[in-house]
Amino acid sequence: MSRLSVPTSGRLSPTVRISNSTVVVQKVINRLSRQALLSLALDWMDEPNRALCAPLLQDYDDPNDFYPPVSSLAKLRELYRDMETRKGSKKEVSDRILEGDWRHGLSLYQLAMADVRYLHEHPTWQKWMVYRILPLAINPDLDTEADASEVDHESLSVSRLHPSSFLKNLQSQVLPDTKAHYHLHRLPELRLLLIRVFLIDTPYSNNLPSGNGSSSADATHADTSRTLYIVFPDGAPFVYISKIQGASASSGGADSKLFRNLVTDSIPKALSRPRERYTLKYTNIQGKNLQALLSMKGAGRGNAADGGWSMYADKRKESPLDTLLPTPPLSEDSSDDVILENLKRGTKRKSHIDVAEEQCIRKARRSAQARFGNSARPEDGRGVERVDISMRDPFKTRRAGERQIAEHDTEGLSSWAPEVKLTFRGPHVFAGMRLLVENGIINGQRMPGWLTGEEGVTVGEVRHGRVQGHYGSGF
Amino acid sequence: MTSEAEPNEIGQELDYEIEDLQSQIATLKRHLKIHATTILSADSTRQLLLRHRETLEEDSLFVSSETSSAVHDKVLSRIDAQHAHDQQCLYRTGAAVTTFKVRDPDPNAVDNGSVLGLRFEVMSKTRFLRPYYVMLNRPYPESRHLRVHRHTVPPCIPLPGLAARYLPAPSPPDATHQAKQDLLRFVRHVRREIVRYHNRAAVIGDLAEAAAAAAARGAAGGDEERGRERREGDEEEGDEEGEGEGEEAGAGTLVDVRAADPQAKQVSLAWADGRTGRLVMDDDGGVDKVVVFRYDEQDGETRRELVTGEDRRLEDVVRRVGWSTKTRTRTTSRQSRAAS
Repeated sequence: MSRLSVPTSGRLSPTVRISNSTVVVQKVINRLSRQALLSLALDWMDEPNRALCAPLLQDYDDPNDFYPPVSSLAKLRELYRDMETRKGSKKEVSDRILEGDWRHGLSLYQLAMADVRYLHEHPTWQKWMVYRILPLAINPDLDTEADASEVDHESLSVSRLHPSSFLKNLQSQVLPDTKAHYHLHRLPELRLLLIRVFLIDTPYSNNLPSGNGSSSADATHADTSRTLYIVFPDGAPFVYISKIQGASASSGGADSKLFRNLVTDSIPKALSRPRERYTLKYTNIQGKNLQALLSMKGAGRGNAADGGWSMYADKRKESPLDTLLPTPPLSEDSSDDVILENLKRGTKRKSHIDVAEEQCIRKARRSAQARFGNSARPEDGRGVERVDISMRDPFKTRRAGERQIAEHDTEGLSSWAPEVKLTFRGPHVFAGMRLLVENGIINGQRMPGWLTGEEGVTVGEVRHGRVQGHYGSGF
Repeated sequence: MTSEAEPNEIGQELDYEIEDLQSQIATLKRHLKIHATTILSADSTRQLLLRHRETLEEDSLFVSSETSSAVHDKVLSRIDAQHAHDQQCLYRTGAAVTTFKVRDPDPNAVDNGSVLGLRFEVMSKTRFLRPYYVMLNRPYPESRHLRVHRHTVPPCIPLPGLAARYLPAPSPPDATHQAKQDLLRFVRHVRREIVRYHNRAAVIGDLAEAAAAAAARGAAGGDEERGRERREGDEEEGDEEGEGEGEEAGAGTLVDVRAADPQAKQVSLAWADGRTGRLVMDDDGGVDKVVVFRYDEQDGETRRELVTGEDRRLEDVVRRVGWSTKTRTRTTSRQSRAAS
């Protein structure tokens, strides 16, 4: 009984079990669907995972046991396959897992798998903040502390991620009274590496008690746990960091903000190597859709060419050996069938449509094409669901009868600017804008550039009609 | 039942036929375009049209002359456009970097929306890839300094660093040392980085191909050998068996070669018998460092097999990987023959 608990600085082993009665386990398991739970249980029994997620196997029959353990793995697998084929409630499966075959507690590895499975089912579950990894200038003469915040703008190095050493270094940054478990995962069809960090406030790294021996103190340890996701897109110096999720309601607010700062501080340190140091800089991009984030800040060509400029970044072939004259978009030969079809449908609905109106529609579509290129299509799956813009433009003033726009806004009396903040929400904000332009509700030629998404930010301040600090450029 | 199934089948057949015809239409349209382009770009076409037009103007008594001259104008303007396009293609083929002018569609764009576009042509595997673009504008008041506005260069090329080096922002007017911009050096350096990146990626691809070919050859050689002993057994088995045959044969065919960093400067290697390695390239594809591990211990032998003495370019490694496995399989077969 005298199990020794020694505070260590190591990471938590994936085999450490957490009691099923804790809030974390209940929460993670109960939000999964029946189908996901079944396939998850089958995955746990598969060859590579078996050692880390062993179920309870017993031979004897206890008549009082509601979910009697099965004697062999094959039988158990058959049992779950059987459940897969027939209909039933989710509760049946989750109870079978928590009170039956894994009643001794779920290992941290199992918990991580379940959590990541939920992310599979709900790709927009997390809200990500995008940070850019910037190299720091290294000055050997100065003390390291003194010159820590100098970003080396002229550096030609691109940061490189080595997952295992990154995790090792991250562990050394974690506070000594917390323990962490890391889980690496690749999401299908997305070119990125997902790291799940699971933190528990305890200095001990041995088994968190399972079953009967569970004392209330240990249960609270597990309940103070926090989960955080870090995403590294392949081949791009960016990090997406999710919000910290606490298991219980108590851990939230200022506490989680503090924690998040701690993590964002430790990530660049973990990425850095001797003579190669990095820092993180927030890029003013937040979003839930990983696909959209990858197209805005990923390994491709579209990082600094959104909106209308995306025509330079798309996958069109453009060989100088092809001497065919390129067809302008929306001309008769162009393959933009969808738009033409819509146009035809429009004409059908109103049989008496006159030529002028048709020209109007055509013009609106052409200007939408010019401003948005091929980006911001409703069906492209790259929706940004929220854009916050605050206007800092000086107010237009009228002086002595003549209309004049105050040019010198920085100093002087006329620099009064009303506080206007705009928030756009929807499944795909910029596609909505495009539709408004295509239907002639917004004048495509006079629409400011930040409405097309070409500035590449989701949070920004606008001055002189351009997102501030960029001279009209998202770069 | 059959009466229901039949229309379905017929419908499907018709669908196929329609699909087929549509693809035929597409090809024919494309052919038509190509032929039209050929005719339009011929010099004689232009001369013919001009002469014909003169004759038309002379006998303007015809009623149809007006419409026909309109058609002429259209064709002539099309010819001009074609000529301009041909010239652009010629420049683009000959020079790796070409420039063009763009208008920023943003009504609030700086400098009235005039933007200078740079087009970087890249060739890889005897084909032109989609060019990379860098757009520059002049956002600074009272200064003609350029600034990168938009670009399609992937993040693995350190464009921000290059821009900071060669296209610095103008210094305040009271500064003693005025920042100078050097567009030419900027362009040259960007192009060099792009081409280097593509060359490095291509040579890593070559290494992967050589390794795959060597592995296939090794498997085939092993198969021949084993064929005498027992007929069954597929190629994969042959691979595994090759591994078991002693240290020297190594069977260590490379099974995994991939770039390990965004800039394609590091290559991670994995052998069939569990050895792993890392190869670091310098900017120009020379081998900088190599390390090979076998069960947590450094494996100097394999490292020397990969890189020896003077040949310190990745192309040499590619050659050696292709070549050494060939000899190795030969020695393997000799050994196993002796053993049997």
